[in-house]
Amino acid sequence: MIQINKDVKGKEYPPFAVTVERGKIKEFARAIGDLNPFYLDDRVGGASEFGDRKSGPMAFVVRETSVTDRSNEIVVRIRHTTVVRL
Amino acid sequence: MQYAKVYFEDVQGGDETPALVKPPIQRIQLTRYAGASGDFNPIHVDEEFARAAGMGGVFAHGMLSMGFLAQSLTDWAGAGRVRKVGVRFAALVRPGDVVTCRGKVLTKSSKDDEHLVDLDVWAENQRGETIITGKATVSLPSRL
Repeated sequence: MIQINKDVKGKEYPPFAVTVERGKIKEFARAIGDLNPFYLDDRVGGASEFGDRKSGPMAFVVRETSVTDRSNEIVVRIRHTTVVRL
Repeated sequence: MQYAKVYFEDVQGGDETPALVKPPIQRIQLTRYAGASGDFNPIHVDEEFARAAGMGGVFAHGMLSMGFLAQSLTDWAGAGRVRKVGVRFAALVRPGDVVTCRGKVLTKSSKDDEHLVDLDVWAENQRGETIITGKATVSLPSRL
């Protein structure tokens, strides 16, 4: 079975930046099977109110994530996710 | 109709979002998702590793199913409209499983120019077992 290392409890990792690239947005949408032209066709995204640099909702727009176990105890908390749009 | 525009005034508590039935999960999809997300945990792609870990074989990334759920919201409300999604993973998704995503409107609220709709969201497999439950908030345009 998977061994859980409890020594890392409370450990904080330094922040890191993720650059949102067009190709990555498309790759992510295709992996999910979300063929919305909003993500896959630069012209459609560019003509929208959001411009052409919007990713799918679960791709990079993560501000804070908590992962809980079956007893609802928080196992991991991810925060301060930096989104860089170029 | 897919990608039809939904207005705040047209939505009522109790309304259900259109069910999104995803094609059966393919092993290659898990590989693609690993690459797209950067989550290369071998438990999702390496059968031998997953068996040795006592998981009985590979299973899908939880965030893949969460992405399906998010897609069901953007198919309905439009891309860029999702404000919040929070889920609890209830069961594993295996290759071959067919995931169906559903949602039901709970409440509506307006503040300034933002019109928010809170929903219960969930997904089930082909046996009707719940794999994810959660809550979501979308921001809809107003006709007014």
